[in-house]
Amino acid sequence: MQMNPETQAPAGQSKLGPQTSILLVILIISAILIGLYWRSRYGGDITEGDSQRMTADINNVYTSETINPSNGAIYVSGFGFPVIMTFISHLTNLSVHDLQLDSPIWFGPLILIAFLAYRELLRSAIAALTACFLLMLMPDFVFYIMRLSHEKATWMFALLLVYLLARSYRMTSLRAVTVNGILFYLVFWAMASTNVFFSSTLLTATAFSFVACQLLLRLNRFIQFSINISVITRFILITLTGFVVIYSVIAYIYPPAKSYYYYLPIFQNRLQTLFIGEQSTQIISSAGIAPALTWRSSLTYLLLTIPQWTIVLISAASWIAIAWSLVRKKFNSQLLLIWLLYGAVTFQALIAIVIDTGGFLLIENLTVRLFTTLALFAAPLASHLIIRVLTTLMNRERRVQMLSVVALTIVVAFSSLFMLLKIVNDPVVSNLWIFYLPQQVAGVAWLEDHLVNQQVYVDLFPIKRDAFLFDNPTDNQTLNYYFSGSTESINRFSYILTSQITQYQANLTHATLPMTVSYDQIYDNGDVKIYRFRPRNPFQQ
Amino acid sequence: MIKCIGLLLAVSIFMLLSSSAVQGQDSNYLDNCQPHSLDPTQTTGLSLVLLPCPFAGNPDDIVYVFDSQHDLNIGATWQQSVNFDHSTWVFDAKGDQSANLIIRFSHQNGILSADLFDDQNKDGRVAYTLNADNSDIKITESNIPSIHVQTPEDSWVTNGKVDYNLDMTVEGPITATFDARTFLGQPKLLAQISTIDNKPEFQISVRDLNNNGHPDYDLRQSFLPLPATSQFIRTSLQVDAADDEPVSQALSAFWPYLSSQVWGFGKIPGHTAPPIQVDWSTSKIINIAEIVGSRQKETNWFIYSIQRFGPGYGEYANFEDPFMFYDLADDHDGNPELMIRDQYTDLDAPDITNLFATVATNDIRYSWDQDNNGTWDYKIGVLGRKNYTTTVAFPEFSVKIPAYQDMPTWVTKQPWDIVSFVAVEGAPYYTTEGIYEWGPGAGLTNLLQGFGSGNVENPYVETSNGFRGDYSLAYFRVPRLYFSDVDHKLHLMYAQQGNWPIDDHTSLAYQNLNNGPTIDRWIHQVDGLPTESLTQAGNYLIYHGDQTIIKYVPTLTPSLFESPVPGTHQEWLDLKNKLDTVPKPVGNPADLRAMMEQFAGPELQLQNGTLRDFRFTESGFRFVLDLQPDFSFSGDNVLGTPTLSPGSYLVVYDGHFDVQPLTAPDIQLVLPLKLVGDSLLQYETNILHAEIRNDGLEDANQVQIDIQVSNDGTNWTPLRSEKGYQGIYSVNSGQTVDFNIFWTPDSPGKWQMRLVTQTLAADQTVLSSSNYSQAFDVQAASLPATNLLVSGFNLVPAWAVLTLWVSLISIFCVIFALIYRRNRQGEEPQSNADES
Repeated sequence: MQMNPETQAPAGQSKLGPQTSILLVILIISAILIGLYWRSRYGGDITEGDSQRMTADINNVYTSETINPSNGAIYVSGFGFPVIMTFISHLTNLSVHDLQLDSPIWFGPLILIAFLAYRELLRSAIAALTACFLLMLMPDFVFYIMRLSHEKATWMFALLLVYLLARSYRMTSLRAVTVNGILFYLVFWAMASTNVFFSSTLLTATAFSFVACQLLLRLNRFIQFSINISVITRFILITLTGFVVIYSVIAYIYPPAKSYYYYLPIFQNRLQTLFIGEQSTQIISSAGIAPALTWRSSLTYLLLTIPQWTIVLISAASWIAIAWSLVRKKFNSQLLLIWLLYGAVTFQALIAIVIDTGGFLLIENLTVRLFTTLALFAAPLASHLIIRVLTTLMNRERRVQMLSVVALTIVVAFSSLFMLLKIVNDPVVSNLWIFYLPQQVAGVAWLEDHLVNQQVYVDLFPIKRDAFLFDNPTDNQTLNYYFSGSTESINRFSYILTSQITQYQANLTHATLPMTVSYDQIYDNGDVKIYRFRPRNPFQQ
Repeated sequence: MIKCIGLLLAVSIFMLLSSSAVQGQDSNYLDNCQPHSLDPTQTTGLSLVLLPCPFAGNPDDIVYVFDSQHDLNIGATWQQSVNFDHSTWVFDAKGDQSANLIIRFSHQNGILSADLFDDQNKDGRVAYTLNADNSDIKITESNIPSIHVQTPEDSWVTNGKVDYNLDMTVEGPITATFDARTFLGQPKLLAQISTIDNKPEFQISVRDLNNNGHPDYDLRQSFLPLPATSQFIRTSLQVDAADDEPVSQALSAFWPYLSSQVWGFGKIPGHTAPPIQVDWSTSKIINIAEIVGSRQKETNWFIYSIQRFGPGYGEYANFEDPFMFYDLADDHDGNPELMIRDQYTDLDAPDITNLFATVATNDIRYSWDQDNNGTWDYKIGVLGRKNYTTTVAFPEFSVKIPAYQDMPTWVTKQPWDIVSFVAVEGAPYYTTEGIYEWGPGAGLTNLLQGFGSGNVENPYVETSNGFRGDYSLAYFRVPRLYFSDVDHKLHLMYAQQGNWPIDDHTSLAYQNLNNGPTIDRWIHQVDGLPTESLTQAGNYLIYHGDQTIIKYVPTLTPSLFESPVPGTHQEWLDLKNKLDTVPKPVGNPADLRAMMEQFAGPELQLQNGTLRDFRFTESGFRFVLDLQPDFSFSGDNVLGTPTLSPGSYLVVYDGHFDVQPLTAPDIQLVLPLKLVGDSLLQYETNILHAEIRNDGLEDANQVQIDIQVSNDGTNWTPLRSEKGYQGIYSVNSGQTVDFNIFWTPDSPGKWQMRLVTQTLAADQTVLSSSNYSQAFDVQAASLPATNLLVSGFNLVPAWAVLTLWVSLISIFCVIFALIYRRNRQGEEPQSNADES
């Protein structure tokens, strides 16, 4: 397979051309603007469960001055992100809370690193720019970078690893390979320290790539596939060394990460259930419930995510096209790495789908678990095909070109709108709102000031509790127990905290809030009311 | 439930461990041990061997003693030849040249210590090497001892008194606390703690404050690596309040704390031995038994706390906090006549089993031996919400509980929320922990915490055979007892109900129909079905069985005497004296007719008629008489009525009897139903308030309410009231009962509700039925306006959000255009060369 000569990177200088540089800068600024949009969409009053917990974890590392605090909140899968944020906090004298809120602007640097990685993978700057652009249009990728979790650091490290790995195949001198190798394992150490789960996911992809190479070599009679043995060796070397690094982190550096082992039997159980049909193991899947409840309708969800699924489909088509070039013995070996890695992460995603078992609704689970990894490799592969299509279009008559540009601009406009709406769970389309009003936090604060160990119904979704803890990161847990969800239960809760917003949410989702008619109102700050269960027996006085 | 099972398991283990007998063994069984030098040419110096020393029960058992200061002076007896402050002892059971235990004694910086090494690698021996001149050994099994014992005293034994100011650190799977054995059975935990790692699993502090050779308290901390949520005993404390804790050297293997036999963990008075026990066959230390006993001694008390307390850990304890034994008979016979256990939850130290605790709770088991025959006779179980406010201080720590001497009256002189009373009526009953019967379940604890609507599972529905019990789930007063004039039994005053399963088929149920101080109805049941009843209403006894008898007893009293629950010796004695003088019960406790016939007085006997629906009224009582065509009265005309015809009559007593023909229940539903709140709303749980009244003379014991709604007249959806779907209500004659209907409409508009009331007979046949209907208008749920959504409920101006969207979308379009344009121009030059 041969790339279009126009887009094929010719041999020459290593510097980018001025137009490419300008485009790259515009892309990075746009990514930062998206981060600022996320930050300011609700005036900074935005959070959700994972963001709140990670903020508490960072705060705990900050205050206890150790990566493994003996008490309080702790992120069990890695210490890297809390350490980075603690370091930046000390450096800038900004609070952890403010730093976290500003962290979506990390999207800018991430796009820069993505560009470097994609340029190495595709050997084309314009294709790399296009891949970055596509990445920015995938809301289920952007959301995980925006929210206040470790993932922005994790995926930055992952992209750096891809960059260093791809670069290593073009190196000939031992010194360059050595320096590159050292850098690679240092970055991998950083990624493993940040999250052992995603690190092992990446390693599994390299392991699959190794297996794929072996299979292809055995099929060499039918296809055109030749490969330097060092490529195969490097895959297995990376996998084995990487798992040693992960084991070191878990066993010696960060004992809380031992929870990783806890999940292994669960995965095994699920596979066993699936393939052997063991009835005693229950397949737990939260998939599917969320889209229906989270978005105004299933159609809304589909509409919002159509652009990203289209990109994934294009990437799949691109992968198949490259595979076909293998059979036709026109394989471009420069695309080998991205082709292998994409195949590996797609295989992982398929396994996830199989494990979670059937249907459209699984897409949510896939999104949560592996879509981010898939998006990282789908963008460059889709870009590769799109560039080819655009090149073909450019050879057509001007009218067709104009129509295509207009149509594609409209597609881009809607895709970007959908992305902007989805990454903030915008109330215009969503029912699961991740913003909160200061008065809601004040209501929870009042409960925390006056009560202990009480069972409080607080919301359809636990945003009020999360928001309180996010705004008060030193309180790593609440004094009372907060319940949320739709419920028709009567007199179950000692206290009910409700607001007009919650009622609107309930009406939009056709959910039922616990009734308050048998309760006494004890608090009202204008937006939030708190009710206390009216005693029915002497024990409730 | 899990806690109960765990507790019973633990108690069983305790009994098992305790019952593994301390084998009778002569205390001077080691007197024949002869010291010999390992070097036959010397009589002083380095080391000696003791032969024959059956410390493990074998004639070939050998002990080697190595002196670190080389100043052994071998005398005639082993006692004259050894020391316990600078020597190493190698215990070789069966004399097979392999060590089964090694103890290294030392005395440094004023601290006398002993380090005990046992087998770590499961090869059945403790590895060591002997140096060239046989003067000393090097222990190679482990650098860290399994047990380290130390004391600030100069000697382990002074003037024949064993020192009990000990601190021990314990490593490995050794049963050193009450529930340790249960957890040590878990392979995962066992694997975790089997390696010696200098992280003690247990710490033990024993103190003899006046050095009289009787330990005063024994405080133990368990550091088993169990989850924070695990319900294991983290701290245990055993105290001897009389300072006469029995100790024994009967099984001592040279050192006063080392036992020659494995005898168990729980210490039983009269059967005690040194605490450290070794399984000589495996060379493993098995137990460190209680040094101060927990149970069965009339002056001891203990705490088993899930919350850690003690030096450095605060003063809040919970779970079995405390567990106390008393000499209520003041006879100093060693056997307790009173046992108090409070399963206590302190708000400051919330029991992890009760995470939602909003108040401190007590679950107290108060068992006593009233006839002083060594078995338990009665128990009151009290549940309450009382926080401990006093603290008991020890030299190194304190714990928040009532003082030992105050605890009985702290229980008996305070009002309690829920109280039960159990009497042992069957075979003599004894456990080391009092009477278990009628322990409350989690439901009552939830009730105490004020959760839910108060409908909890009643754990007191039935006792086991051989136990009789009364209870009240809403007591709120100081528990008192009374002796019934009718059944001649001790009962709980103000009990709501009670029961007594006499055998597998026969039982007695007790009822307190007028909520007065005494039981007023006895029901004899066979296989759960009532066969006869006896009701005490003022001076009347009403018997209903094979015939109906109404008897007037002028001398009838509610009780023959009242008594406090004995909390002091004098109260115990007073109750004993009263019980000795009162009349004995009738022969067959289930013979209610005989119970009535013990009283003299005029009585009316009814044949071929029934008495039903008895209940107390504000000024007396009432019941229904059903007279069959062939009915007859005999005896005295107690009712004072003229001749009656067959039929049903309402009999009302309010100082005198009034008899009138009965009219059937007449159930009326009051319409319209009242909406609680302003309007009926879609998706909200709305409440409709309803009332039904009974205009007939007969009580309606079962009125079923069936409620349905429809918005199309075709599909009807059932609704629930407070008693569920098709709820059953009881409506007495002349009474109005109100209830709520809950309705969550799923769509707005016109709705029709239909209600059906059905009066049911005892056999569920429908006696009468009425239909009602009412129309409702349900308002649509309100939805937020679009501008409210766009502005995030006014967090940011809507125009700003729209501007942001338009700007960012435009930027994306521009980027796309630039990429497109860039692509048209082709790739800019960049490196494709291999790097070097």
